[in-house]
This record gives sequence, structure tokens and C-alpha cells, in this order.
Amino acid sequence: MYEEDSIFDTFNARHLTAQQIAETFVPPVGIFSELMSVGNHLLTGPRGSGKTTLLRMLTVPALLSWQHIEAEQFLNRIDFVGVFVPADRNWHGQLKSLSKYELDQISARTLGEAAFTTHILKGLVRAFQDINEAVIGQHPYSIHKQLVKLDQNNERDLVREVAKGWRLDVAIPTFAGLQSALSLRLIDIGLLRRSLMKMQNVDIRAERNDYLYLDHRECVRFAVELCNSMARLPSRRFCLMFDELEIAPSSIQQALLADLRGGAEESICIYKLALAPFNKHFYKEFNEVQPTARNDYVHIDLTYARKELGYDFSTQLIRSLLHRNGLQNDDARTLLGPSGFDFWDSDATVSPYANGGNVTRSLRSLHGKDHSFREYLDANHLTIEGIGDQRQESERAQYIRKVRSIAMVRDYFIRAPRELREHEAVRDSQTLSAEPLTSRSRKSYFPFTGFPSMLALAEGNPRWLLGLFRPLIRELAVIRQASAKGRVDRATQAREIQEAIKAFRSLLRTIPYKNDERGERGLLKFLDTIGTFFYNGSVMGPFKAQPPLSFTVDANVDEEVIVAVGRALNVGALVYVPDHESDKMLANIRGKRFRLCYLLSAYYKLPIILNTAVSLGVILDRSGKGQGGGKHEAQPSLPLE
Amino acid sequence: MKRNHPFRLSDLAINVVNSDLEDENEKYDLLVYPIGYERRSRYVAERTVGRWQKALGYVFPDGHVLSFEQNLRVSKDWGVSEIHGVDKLELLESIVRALDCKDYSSKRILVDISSFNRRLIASLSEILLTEPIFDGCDVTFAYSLAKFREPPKRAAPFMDFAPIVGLEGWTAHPERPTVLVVGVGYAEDEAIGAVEYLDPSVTFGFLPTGVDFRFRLEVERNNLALLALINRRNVVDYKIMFPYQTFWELLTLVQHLSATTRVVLVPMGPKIFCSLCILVKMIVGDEIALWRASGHELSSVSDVEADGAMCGYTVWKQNRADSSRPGI
Repeated sequence: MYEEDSIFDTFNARHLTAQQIAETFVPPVGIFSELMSVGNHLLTGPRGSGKTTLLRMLTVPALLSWQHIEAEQFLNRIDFVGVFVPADRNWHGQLKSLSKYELDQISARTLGEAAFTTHILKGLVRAFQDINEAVIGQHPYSIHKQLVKLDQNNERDLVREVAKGWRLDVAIPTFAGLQSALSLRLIDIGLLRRSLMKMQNVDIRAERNDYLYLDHRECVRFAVELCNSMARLPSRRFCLMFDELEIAPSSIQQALLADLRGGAEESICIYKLALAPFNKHFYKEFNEVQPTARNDYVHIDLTYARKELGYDFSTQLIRSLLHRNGLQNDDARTLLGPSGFDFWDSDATVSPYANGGNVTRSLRSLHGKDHSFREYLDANHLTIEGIGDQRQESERAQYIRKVRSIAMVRDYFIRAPRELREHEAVRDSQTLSAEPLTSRSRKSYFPFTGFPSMLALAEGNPRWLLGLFRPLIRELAVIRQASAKGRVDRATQAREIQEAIKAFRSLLRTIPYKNDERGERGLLKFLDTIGTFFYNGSVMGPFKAQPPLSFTVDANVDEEVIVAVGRALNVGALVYVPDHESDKMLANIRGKRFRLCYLLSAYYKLPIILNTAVSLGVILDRSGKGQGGGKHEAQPSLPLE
Repeated sequence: MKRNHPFRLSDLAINVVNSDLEDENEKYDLLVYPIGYERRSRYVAERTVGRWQKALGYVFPDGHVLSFEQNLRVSKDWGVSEIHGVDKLELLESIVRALDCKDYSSKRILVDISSFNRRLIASLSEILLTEPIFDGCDVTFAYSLAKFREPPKRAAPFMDFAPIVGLEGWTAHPERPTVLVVGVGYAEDEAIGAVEYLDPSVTFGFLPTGVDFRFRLEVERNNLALLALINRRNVVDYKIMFPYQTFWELLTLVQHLSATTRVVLVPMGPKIFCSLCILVKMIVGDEIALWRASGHELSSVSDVEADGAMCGYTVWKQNRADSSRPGI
């Protein structure tokens, strides 16, 4: 949801200034507007899906810096002051390390909770500072009503009272002084930790350490009420926005989830909680506390199980990137040109189903070499001659549309033996030669180029969109210097797909997964097993109209597999496919349906469609027995590189 | 020995200088080295034999394969005292016992880190650089470069990626962004795993060059994905043979970054870089964290031989009672 001057230099929005975030922010359709509403929200998405950016955009400085064409309407709706509470694995490592020393568990937990509480309070003081430092323009947006500044005397009085309640010594009674005192408190907690680590005789329950037992909710409410009272805004809401909540100590997670249960209507504190798609510890807490969707919170998922849902946001982000590069007259279509899979392009001069259209061409070609495809057509009383015939519209709708993606990918990746004459279909599908998965030419990615296929590969994930499209936009800028027409060629697009896949697979290779039974190591091997199974079923074996391209996790799979699926979800390699819209919150992996992300689908030479689902147990069993699911299992399909 | 550029390490002033391990005039009171499965683990000891008075050999509890038996035999021939425990207190007691003197200041201790694991390098560094009993000592960390061998075909996935216990740091500013400083090794795509896991705001990569240029080629070849991911201006080339210079580059960068960010050091690649990271972490303090990745199992070990080149650096510590020495 943001752009960077240097594409891969920066990975997340944590370090950017509010102004930098606002300058490049593109609101995801429907999502930002929902998130702005007064209410509790659970925001889930894999790495790079924009959770941090969305939360940071709800802070006062970011909102006031936002110049987007829709900014005015948003600024007129917002009815709270955002408090951003970041967290990351680095800090998690420090908090978690407390339990690695020979501290008693109660002391370790107390120090962890006290540190996190102090961190939340720092976020709140930052929000007080945001209000006082806000530069309010001439437009009377509704957000401005929340931003009543405190004069010096009020600030001093507020800080003194808050410091008393929070058990702080504040040298200078200003918000900056309060921040500084909270940092010192974190240092104090660190010193206590060190003393305990060195087994010194320290009693953390001593009276001078009573700040360790402060409750974050009480502290926040106390300060918010005081601040609101001084600003004469008794019902002003503060929105606590937790990034990577799964990193917070479990008691704080539990308290926040319990707070969700109260709903947001009457509360002066509301919550926006950002999480990875799956974290078994968090969801255990979640299941225990059981807040209710819609009544207590609204769940926003930043993944798009059905690719078309992500196209609007992707198109807007690409347009924003193009504009920032001086390409005002271009959009994703003019950048990429059509895709072979673009069946809905109303601007196409030739219908894909007409004679000479891309679908018809592929189907004829496949018919010419694949007997199993001929059998499929025969069984459904279709003729290849009739495919381009407008009169057969109803048959096409029923049969051809169902198989077009499979047939086109299959046509692209399988070859008939050279000695066979043209149009002589191969009767024995084993004599067909499918391009092995081991072959990784750039040409392998050609079917996935063009609009909207490349958008599907990025999954609506801003980080992936930037990675894939920034080089293409630079290329287009060069092309535009010479010509107002033309687009980035397919070879260049395929090169970027290849590079993105290479980088993504490198990341996946380092994520651990070990299945003792099979002796496999690494998440990538797990994903390769799934990808190979799908490839064998859709491309290598005999033609099937609807080969499985998604899977359901069996109830009895072992815990290692659950961990692997969870990790793959969190990194974006797998995408959860909910059966119902209301089922989006993934509290349990078992029994749920998933698909490979489309970037990996391109690697495994699979059509980028959902299709039917197969049980994960079947995939793992067949691969365990060396079976690939098709007649071609004798051909080596692994290793993939 | 040239002494300059003092730093504060807790309440102690120190100097860091390159060491010439080939210099026959350099004598040591104690050598601490690992008795491991690599032939390399006894190389520094062999090359400096006659220049150290006593030696303490750390015997790993497992991995008694490849050259281990021979290394153990040689250590017995030299009359080396053995340490077996990993507990810091045990290590400290063993070193104190081995030196066996009334005044430990002005002692010269040589530690061969080539075959130690990162956790032990951290423990030994912490003991020798922070325990008051060793104030005034010179501690030399030595490293013998490995003979070139093909890198493992595939990087092992991280089975355990976590802060080194005791070096995880503690921040007073959790709201600040994380910056990753990763020492890059030649195993394929290992460093990128650290990037994926920590999801830093910015990454800096330290790329080593040794005496055999094939290592460097493999480092670059096997980290293409990482190098494509990070900005070229964030790549720092360092020479393994000149740890003092690397120390300066690393310290300057980390000190600069730690004013506004939380730095995580992940020292993959040569152990000398890991040792320097530990030293820098000790100097800069609690805002810095040091992480390690462990994905290797004994089934994948190999009998690494020394190439012949050695390098090292000496940390010279001021005796707390002595304020007359220069550079303080």
C-alpha cells in the first residue's frame, strides 16, 4: 500500500514517517473504509499484505498528511484518535528470552507484561502528542473535532496526574517528559531482568516495583478519561491498534480479546488488532474467550481467495505507481497488454471463442495432440469444429468455460512426438511428452504474463505488487520516451515473474518443517509435494475437466503438517479459501480448504484457478508412495530444480 | 603493539588491534581452543605451539567423528587440560584454574574461535571481556581460514533461529524499527532466511573476502536472492584477514543505526565476524540483539581443513586499578 524510491530496500512500513506513508497510500477497496468505522476489528493477512500500513494510516499525522483524492470523504468519517502499538519478532525474542533463564515463571511473566504495558502507554502518549502537534488545515473535517489541543498548563496538569497513576517520576511535566519516563521504566525493567538473570537476591515484589503490576487497560482508561475531560470531549474515543498482536504476552492477548466482547458502542477505547493468518497459540486464546464476529468485532482479511476480488486494489496501486513515474496516461492494461487467460476483455478485437481467438486456438491445438481431450469432447457431445461457432454458445458456457484454463495450460506445456502428423491425436497419453517441472525456461512463464494474470500472481499483496511491477514500470517509462504506444513485452514480464519466484522460493527454503515419518525438511519441500501433485493431475496425466488445484486439510493429519500449513499461510505461500464469507476467521486449520498462492502456481505450471479440492492426506500419501496421481508417475517430477 | 582508539566496555576501557599470529615473539600464557571433529580445530594450536604456556581444550559433548580422535590424541600429547561443561561458571573456573596465578592482570590469553560454535564464542567472550578477574589481560581471538570446499547443495532450513542467550538485548524503545545487519556466508540462501523471519525495515549485508577468491564467488552466487532484495549501498565488503578494520566498520554502522533503530546482528559466515559482532554488541549495549541460526545436524558435518592463513584481533583491557596505561 506504499511505494518506495528503492524497490526492495525497505520491507515494511514500520520505519516510514507518517508523511511518507500518507504520500503513497492507496486505500484498498472497501477495507480502509470499514477499518475507519467506529468498532473493533481483527485484521489478518500474510507478510506484506499491508496490515502495518493500514494501521499507521489511522494515526493522526498520517491522516492529516493524506492528499489522496478520496481523503476528504474519509477524514469526514473518522471518529477516533489512533494509538499505534507496533511489535516485531526482534522484540518478541527479547520478551521470550525471559523464560530461558532460570527465573521463576511468575517473575518472567510479570516482567514481560510490565514491558508490554509500558510499550502500550508509550503509544498512548505518542497519540496525545499527535493531537497537540497536529497541523490543522482550513477544511473543517470531522477528525478535527477530535484534535482539541491542550495548552501548556493543561498539559502539565495532565502529565502530573497521569504520572501519579502510572507510578512514574517525571522530571519535566510535558508529554515528551512522560515518554522519556516510560523509556526509563523499560530500562528499569531491563535492569531487574539482568539482576534476576545473575541470580542476585532481588525481590521483584518489593514495594518500589509495584509499577510492574499495573494493568494496561486501567492505565489507558485513566489517562484517556483525564485527557478527554481536559479537552472537554468526554466521549472522545481512542483506538488502540496493535500490530502483530500474536507477539504480545498471552495475558495481554487474553485481556484484549475479552475487551472485544464488550463491543465498541459505549467504550472510549476501541481496538484494531492485526494478526498473521494463523497462530495456533493466539487462536487457542481466541477460542477460549470466544468474541463473536459482527457483534463484538468485524474481521477483515487482506487475502483474496478469489483472485478477481483483488484486482481493483492492484489496479489502483499500479496506477498510482505509474502516475508517480510520470506515466499519467497508462494503467495496468496498457502496461502489460492482454493475457492469454483474459476471457472477459471487452476491448479485445477478436472474441477468445471466435475462430482465431486465443481459447479456440488452444483448444484446437490440444485436440490435435491429446486423445484424452478428444475423448472428453466426445463424451460431452462437443466437436472441435463447433467451438468457434457462435451458435454453440450454450455448450461453451456449460463445458468449454469449465475447461478452458486447464486446456490452455495443458496445450502450452505438452508436446506430441515429432513423428506424428499434425492433427493426429496421440491415443496413448503416456506417449505425450509434458514439459517436466524441472524445466525452468523463462518461456515457461509466458502463459502467466499480461493483464490480469500478473495481477493474480501478486495476490493483491502490496509488497508483491511493488516487487513485480516496479521494474516493469521503469521499463515502460523507457518505452514511452520513444513511443506513446507499446507495452512491456512478455519476455520482460516473464523475467520479472521468474525473479520474484526465485526470491520467494529462497525465503521458503529457510522456513523449517520436518516430517519425521518422511524425513523431509523445509517448508519448500512440503509445498513442492503439493505443487507436483497438482501438476501431475492437471498437465501430465490424461485430460480431466476439473483436476484438483486446492486441498482440504484432513481432520487426522499430524501436528507437523498443521504447523507447515500455518507457516505457509503466514508467509503467503498458501491462501485460505473459506467456504462462506462468515467463515473467514481461521481458528482451526483442520477441515479447511487452501490453495497455493498463484505465484507458486506459475512455478508449478498450473492454471491460476481454484478448481476442485482434494484431501491433503491423499497428496501426502501418494507422494510418500512415490505416486504422482497420474499415469506419468514414472517420470521424475522431483527434485524441481 | 600499536594501541589506540579506546572504547568503553561497561566501566572498562579497551583497545582493539589486529594481531599478527605468525609473529614468533608473540607469547601467550594460555590458549583456549576446541577439540572438535574438524582437523582445523587444532590448527592454531599447532602453529603457535611453543608460544603458549598452557592450553585448555574444550571437548564437545557430541560430534566425536571425523578428526576428533586424532585431535584428542594430539591434545593429550601436548598435556592440554580439558573442559567438558558448557556452563559459564564452569568455563570461568576452568580458565582461572588453568592460569593458576595470583595476579591475572597482564596475562595474555589466546582463544582459537575457528571451530567453536557461536554460543560458546559468546560465552567465552563474555567471560574474558567482562569478568573483573581478567581486567588488564590481553585477549586475542584467533581464526584460521578454511580450505576451499564446495558449499552444501542447499541451505538447511532454520530449525532454530533465536537470540543467543545473554545477548538478546533489551530495548527501551520497542516502537523503533528493526534494522538487520547480517554477516553473509557461502551456504546457499541462508542469510535470506534471517530477513524473512525478522522482517526488518532495512537490511545491511556484510560480505566476506578471504584469501581464496572462490569463497567470495560462492558467497555472491549463493546469495543472489538476498542481494536482489537489499539495496546495493547497504552491502559492506570486508576482508577476513583484517578484523580490526571490519570491527571499525561494524561498530560505526551499528552505533549510527542504534540512535534511531533497534539493530539485530546475525553473524553467519566466518566465525571471526561473529566474534566481532559479539564485541560490538558488548560495547554498544542492550539496544543491540545478537541472533544465531542453527539448522545443521551432525549428519551434514565435514572435516574442514585449515587453509594456512590465520588472522585475529586483540582486545586489550585496562586494569581497573591502573589508570596510567595509555589510550584510556
